[in-house]
Amino acid sequence: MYDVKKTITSKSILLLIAVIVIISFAIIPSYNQTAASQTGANVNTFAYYDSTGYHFLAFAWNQFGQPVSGVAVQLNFTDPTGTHSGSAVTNSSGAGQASIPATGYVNASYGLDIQQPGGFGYVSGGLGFFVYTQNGSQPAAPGQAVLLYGNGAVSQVTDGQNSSRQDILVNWVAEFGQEPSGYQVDYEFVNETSGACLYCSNYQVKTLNGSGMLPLGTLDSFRQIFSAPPLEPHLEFDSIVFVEVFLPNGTGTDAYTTLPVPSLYPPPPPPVSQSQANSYAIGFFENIFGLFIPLVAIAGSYDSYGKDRVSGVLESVLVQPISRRSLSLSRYLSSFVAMAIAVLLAIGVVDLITFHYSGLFVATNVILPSAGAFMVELAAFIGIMMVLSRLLKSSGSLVGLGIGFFIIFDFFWGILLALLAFLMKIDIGSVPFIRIFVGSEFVNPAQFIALVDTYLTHSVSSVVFAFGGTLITPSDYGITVWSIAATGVLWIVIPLAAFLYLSTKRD
Amino acid sequence: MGPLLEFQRLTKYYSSNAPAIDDLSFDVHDGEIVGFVGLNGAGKTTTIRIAAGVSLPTEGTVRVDGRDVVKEKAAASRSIGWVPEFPNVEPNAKALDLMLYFAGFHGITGGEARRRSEELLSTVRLGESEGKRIRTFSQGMKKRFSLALALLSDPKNLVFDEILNGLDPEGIHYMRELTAELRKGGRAVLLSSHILAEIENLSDRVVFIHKGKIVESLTTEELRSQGSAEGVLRVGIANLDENALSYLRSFGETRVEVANTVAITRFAGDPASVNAELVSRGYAVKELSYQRSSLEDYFLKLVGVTGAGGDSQQ
Repeated sequence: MYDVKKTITSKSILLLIAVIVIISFAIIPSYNQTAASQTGANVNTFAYYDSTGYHFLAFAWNQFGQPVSGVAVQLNFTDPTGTHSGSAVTNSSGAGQASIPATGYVNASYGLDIQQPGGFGYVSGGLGFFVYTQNGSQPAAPGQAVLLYGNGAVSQVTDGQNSSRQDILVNWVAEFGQEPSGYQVDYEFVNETSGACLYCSNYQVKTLNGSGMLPLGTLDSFRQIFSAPPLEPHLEFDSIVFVEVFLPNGTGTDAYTTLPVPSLYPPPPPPVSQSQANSYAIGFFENIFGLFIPLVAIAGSYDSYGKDRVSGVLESVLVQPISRRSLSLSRYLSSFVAMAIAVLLAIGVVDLITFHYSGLFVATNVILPSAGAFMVELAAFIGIMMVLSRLLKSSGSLVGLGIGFFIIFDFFWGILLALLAFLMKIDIGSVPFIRIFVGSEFVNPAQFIALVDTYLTHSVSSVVFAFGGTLITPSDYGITVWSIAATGVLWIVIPLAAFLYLSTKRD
Repeated sequence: MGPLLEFQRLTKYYSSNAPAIDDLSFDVHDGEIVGFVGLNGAGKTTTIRIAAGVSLPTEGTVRVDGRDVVKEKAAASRSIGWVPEFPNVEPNAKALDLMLYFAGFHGITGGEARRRSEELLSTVRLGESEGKRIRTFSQGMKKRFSLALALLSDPKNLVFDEILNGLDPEGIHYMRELTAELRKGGRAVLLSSHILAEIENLSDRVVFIHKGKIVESLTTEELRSQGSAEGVLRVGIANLDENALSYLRSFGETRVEVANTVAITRFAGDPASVNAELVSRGYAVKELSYQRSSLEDYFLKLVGVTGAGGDSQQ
């Protein structure tokens, strides 16, 4: 026990324990999934005309309302004098502008081509310079900016600090391309009365003169983000928030929109169910822990025994009053106990993280078999590494072979199976393939956790073969409690027995 | 005076070829210092490693205080200290920490472990290096540290493998004093060395091993009585000339070595009278040494070779 205590408390072993515990925090992303990131930028293109020609301003932002640079906008205006072209690329502020020399006509038609940095683009076109109000459309005055194409002057973006919240982005251009200043942004909650649809005339909004609306804020730049207003009580399910931009003199603009309340105020994510919590834990144990356990077992046993053995340092201990068997067992046990403590601590951390995010602990019938499987994997790889330590004569070959075992059993195992399936002309995912797949979990100590998970989930999955959750009946493939237990015992006993034989009977 | 270290029909094969040691039997009694002499690869280190419990015999036994080093390893190891030819301990450990760690195996803990460790490190002149890591030690320092480790539990038996290698003159002097003390303390010591003159000085008995077999075992007195009276006289003369050489040739075969030093092999005369004669002839004698190499001569005659060599597998 003296040697066990000294080995477990060595700095390198303590460091390994810390590493394993830190790895357990990798389960957090399972509970922290954010909304899928948007692939393209939102782009608004405003334009106005005057006697010098056509002028346009383009703005691009991402799902959080942050500026996006590199969006190329090309505009062609066709008027009685011909077609006039110009282009602009958004800068780091997400804005770009260009002027196209011409006479400038209100009824000029336009063609627009937008190219996103990712390579994809879209085109649009139509008759430019018309203002659309609730009273109908009317020609824009010279210098009056109109939104030719885009996401809307008022739109919804995800809050940059809290992805579960939504904000309101207002993007507007004042006369002659000036930056808005002192523009009032107002809002009003409107109940949907018929429950028929969101964007139809069932919303009997009042005349857009700001009367009865509440201030959201003042617009003093081309693009500005406002927090969503406090949600009013007693709103119907499909109610909306009506938002409009007013000129400093109180005149309404055509910058208005209706934002659905369910979208602007998304409900909190549904609580994690027990089966989801278990599923996250099983996935994490098999794919993350399962990957690292053999590696830490190899590293731990190399540190506590292998390097001393191959370097000859172990002889300075062997000359002490301790039997060969006791010394070998003490080093084996100290490696195992240290790594087992680390793994159990890490499993505990996973359980606590699960509880923190879901209010649920991982089910005992998942935690205990998984912990047991890891103990088997630890014992097997520590034993294998110690056997190798008795057979090899240099640190280089020992470390090399240890890492080789890890790579073959952990990383390339799936590829070896794929090769086997190819040679045997067996289709991946077919019953014979699944039989080979499950069989391989019996003969590979690194796959012992997968074997246990197959039993727990009644399904097999493989990242390598891109199939997941194929349901099986475990007993049809020889997976029973007894076969798992027998396999585990063999993985513990055989390497340990070989190690003890070599260390007590051979130099 | 019973045997404390008993080697009985000890055989060790490293491969299926010739044995490293073959049916080797001898004893080391309490209060006895036994020199273990042989060419490189003769089997000295193999024998000592088996006695220390770090290597397993293929056949035969080694008993330490009557305990089998294989079957009763822990008990046997309690009574033996080992200094290997190339000490190999945890390089990143500090000297005192390692002493305390090994003391724990002997049940020496706490203040007693610290006191004894510091005392031993001081004795082997490593007192000021007790906080240094072993990897910073020279080979001589490692040897002295290993000696301190071997003495940690005050064992009744000690096996020293080429302990004089790597030691400076002060270290060799300390070893002479230590072996005298160990003899006085009734310890059994098996000592291998290539420095045969020192073996002759330190040992009560010399065991000769050649090609894995014991070829002779003699007390130092027996060895001296069998040895030749001849030796090698080395004379360093600042103003060496042909006349001086001619005079020296009259004593035997001469060869001029470095720095005007002449070696006369098979010298059987009186070194003091040679010195006096040279001085009287006006020569500046700066060095005169005489080595009566009876052990070396006897050993080489015994193994039937004229120089060092042999196989090496240890």
